[in-house]
Amino acid sequence: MNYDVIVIGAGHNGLTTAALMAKARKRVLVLEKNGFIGGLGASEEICEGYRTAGFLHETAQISTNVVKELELESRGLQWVTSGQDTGVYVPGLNGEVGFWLYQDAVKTAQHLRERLGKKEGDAYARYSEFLADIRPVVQKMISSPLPDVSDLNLASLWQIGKHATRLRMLGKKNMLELLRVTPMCIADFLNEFFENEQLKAAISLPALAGTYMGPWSPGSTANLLMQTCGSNQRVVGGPWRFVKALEKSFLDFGGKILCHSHVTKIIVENGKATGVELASGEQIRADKIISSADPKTTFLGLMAPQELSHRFMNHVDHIRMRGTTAKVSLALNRPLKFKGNVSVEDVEYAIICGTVDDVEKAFDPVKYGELPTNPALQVYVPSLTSSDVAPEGHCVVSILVNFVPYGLREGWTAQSKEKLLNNVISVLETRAENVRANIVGSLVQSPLDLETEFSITGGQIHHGEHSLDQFISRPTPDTVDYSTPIPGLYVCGSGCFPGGGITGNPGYLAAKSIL
Amino acid sequence: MAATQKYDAVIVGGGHNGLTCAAYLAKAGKKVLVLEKRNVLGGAAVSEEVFPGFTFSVCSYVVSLFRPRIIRELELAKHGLQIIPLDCSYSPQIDGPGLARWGDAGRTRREVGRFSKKDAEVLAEFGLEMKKMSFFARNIIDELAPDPTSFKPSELMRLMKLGNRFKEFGSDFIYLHNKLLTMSSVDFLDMYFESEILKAPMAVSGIIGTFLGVRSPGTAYVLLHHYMGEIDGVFRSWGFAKGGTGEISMSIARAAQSYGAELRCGVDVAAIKIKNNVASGVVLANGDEIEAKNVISGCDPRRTFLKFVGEQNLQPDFVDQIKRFKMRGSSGKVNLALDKLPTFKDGREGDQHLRGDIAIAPSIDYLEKAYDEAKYGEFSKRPYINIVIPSLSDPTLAPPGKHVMSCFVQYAPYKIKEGPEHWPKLRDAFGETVIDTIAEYAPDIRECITHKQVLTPWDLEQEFGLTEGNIFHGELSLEQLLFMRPAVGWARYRTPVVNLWMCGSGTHPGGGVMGAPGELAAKTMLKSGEV
Repeated sequence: MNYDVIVIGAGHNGLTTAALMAKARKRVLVLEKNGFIGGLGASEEICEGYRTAGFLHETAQISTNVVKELELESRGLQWVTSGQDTGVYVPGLNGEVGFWLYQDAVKTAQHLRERLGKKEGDAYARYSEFLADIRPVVQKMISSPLPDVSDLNLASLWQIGKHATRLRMLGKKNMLELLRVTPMCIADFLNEFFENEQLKAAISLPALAGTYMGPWSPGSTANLLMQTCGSNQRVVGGPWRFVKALEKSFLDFGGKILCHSHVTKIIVENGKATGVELASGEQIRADKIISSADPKTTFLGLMAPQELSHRFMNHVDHIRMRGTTAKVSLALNRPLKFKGNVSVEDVEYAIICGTVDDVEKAFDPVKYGELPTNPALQVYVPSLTSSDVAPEGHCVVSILVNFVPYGLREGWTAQSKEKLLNNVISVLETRAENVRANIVGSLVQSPLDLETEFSITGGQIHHGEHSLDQFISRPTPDTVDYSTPIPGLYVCGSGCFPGGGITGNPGYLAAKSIL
Repeated sequence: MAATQKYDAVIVGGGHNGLTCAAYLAKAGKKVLVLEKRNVLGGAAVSEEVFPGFTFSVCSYVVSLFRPRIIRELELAKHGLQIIPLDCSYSPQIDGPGLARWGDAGRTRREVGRFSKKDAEVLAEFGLEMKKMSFFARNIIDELAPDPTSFKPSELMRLMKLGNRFKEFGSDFIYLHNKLLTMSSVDFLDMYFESEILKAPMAVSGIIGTFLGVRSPGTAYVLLHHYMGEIDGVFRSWGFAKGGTGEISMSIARAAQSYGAELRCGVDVAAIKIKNNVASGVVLANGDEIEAKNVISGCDPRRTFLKFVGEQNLQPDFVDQIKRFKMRGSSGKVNLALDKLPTFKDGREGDQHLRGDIAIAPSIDYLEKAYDEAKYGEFSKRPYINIVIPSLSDPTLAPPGKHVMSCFVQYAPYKIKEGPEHWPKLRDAFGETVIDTIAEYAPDIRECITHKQVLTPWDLEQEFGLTEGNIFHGELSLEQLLFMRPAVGWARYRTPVVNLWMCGSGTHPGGGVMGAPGELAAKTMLKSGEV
């Protein structure tokens, strides 16, 4: 059979692009290396009877455009309503009851007034007011393709002009504020609002996760703004439900997915991409090849060097992809109970962190290839809303560990993973009751494991570090419009604008641009 | 005491920017008075005989960015300015040979080639790229900051002109420029080089005077610094002013005087006189008042607005901006009088490699660890040190056979854990740390020292009026540059107070012995017709 489009990789961006292409009546084939789909949104087994709901947790940034156009709501995707939102729990430093951060800013501000005092609550209100002011502009920016700033022709100038006009529409005060704060470090930015150290740390952590930056690194505020302004409600059941809905949508539109199909080469003939070759040696042809793999894998791994210019290879080579995230998934034979008599139902998501400096101290060792002794954790308990991930009354705790170096100096061995697991459990036990004694199984995934399992260079969860310079021309100046120097070859993964996380944005923009 | 004669302008602070501003105004026929608190002119660009026979560039110790236009327009050569080019950057290692980079490109290539053939080859290409970048950057430091919020045709034209120049350089340039503007020094250098021994001393130019590490994003831009220096129109040279950095200030002072400016030392300004939001002169610490049509502050924004003007005379919004203007000082200075030259371990012959600057920056991790300690409120146990021995090229600074050694030390955070006021107690320990560090590379250093002067960030604040010991009058981070320096919308040397102006390093284009803020401020005032 002949295909119009082959998509490499069945991660959520690959599936998004594939489904949108299929909806446009293209014959689309998705090739996935693993025996399962979903990439970093895939549900994986921890031990028999216990599964995760995705390597990543956060579903609040899922693009509403994707959900609407692919009709995901009729295919099992369900938003958490604001009444159901249990928020993100931030336990106190010594296990005492801390506070919650809800998706609803007004509710959070009120809650913080009660928990941390009027001043912090009011500050939160001011903080979210600023974010609400700039939100429409930032949202517009992350849902339109990047202008090509390195080739200032009429078209790109028009694009830049549109962005500039949007900026100016913010009004002088907010526009200048946005320009001023974007290159700042998160710590300084949050210091302008808050006093409570743990509050600042908890707000900063999701924006730093996966990056090669601590809260004191300049430019980290840009990540925070993009993340918060692109944020809506979460979906029930975590990233896995999103992936399943995407799959259903794609199949409904007539698409086809082949698992265990490891693409090892993109075939280029007469300077044009015409198909792919699998590990089995089989060749499959299509008019368009769209890669959702990271740019280094796509261009340096799947292509022969002679197909690309020296200049382009250099650009790709210089993309920084240092993974800093590991995952610890625990299977427990009873629910996860936080100290201070916090009700089990109230904690689906939690952030375990100390002060801003503690987060910075969790980041420092990464630079020297060491493990953090006191990592900052993002916790997700999928078993609370999904009955199919653990036996009844039991529980799955999915933990993103910040920061863990890909290039661990002592090397990634069973021992170093054991050490990481122990560090994580110790930190978790400062806030939750009896974790260690109730573990029936665990899964530790280092950045190196991520690279091996999902073919993500450096185990970099965003397919290219989130940093200002890597947003300006993401992934390279020649590929900002999702096309590549090779006709017929396109990119649609997190390595493209607007970057990583479970959003569907790059996949969406790529499909629109290709169509 | 009654008011004395009326001046067109009184300038608070006799640093090099205040003096530059004074000289330009006086040259245009204005009646100008400069008031300096210390007994010597120059501010942080000052030469002093700290110990008998030993003259130090007490704070700022090398010249690179000083604008050639100022030298020409104020005829500073005629007034005694003489600059001795610095020919070498030497970075020793504890064990094994160090690296010397020379003015002569071929010689540098051979030295670098001992560590990495690839790096030696890339060096020329890198230099060329940097030179192109600095050509563009000059457009920014030699002109007023653009105002992106204004819809005025003249402002839009200015932006378009800048955009056009940008465009002329071509797409590869723009790509690289965006990277340079936002990346960390280390990440940027990683795109070109592989050997640590080369990258570490190169990376440090990105952190001087900042509270950032070599791995902090945004530090790459300052790498240009090394390539932007112009002395007598020659690119990429650093130099010493003959007689110490203070001679730059003194030559400007002599120029200013020749145009009729009046300069007074030992005059401590307590406040700026303001009535109905109009500045009309200054009040001195002794109660005297001096009237002037305009007041110009060469001091940093915090000192200017929170001390001299006072919160009560400003809008709360503006006060907030000034309060959050970041001034975290991060460096100290140790000045040593030597009765002989120290011997560095790697056994190079002669003293040629010691005539430029000597950087204690053995590896990237060394530099980053120094920063990590400072982040949590301690001075680095093994700091980055930039050493110069200017008496090797300018014998007038020390008695025959003896030397002055000036050590710039980073990191020494102003906000030390114990609180900044505890710095005097830590001063000795800080000085010893510096000497211990040097001793690892030059074991006989202690035998050479006859006197030492240790300046902590606290001392820089108390003695030189640099708030929080920040040598640039405010950090040179992206959010504090261009139209945001020192406050959004106030980057054109005016202030919210009528007839009060700024001309110091806290204004565009920022710190360093550049003279540009003083020059641009004076030209703006003259053009406005209000001074």
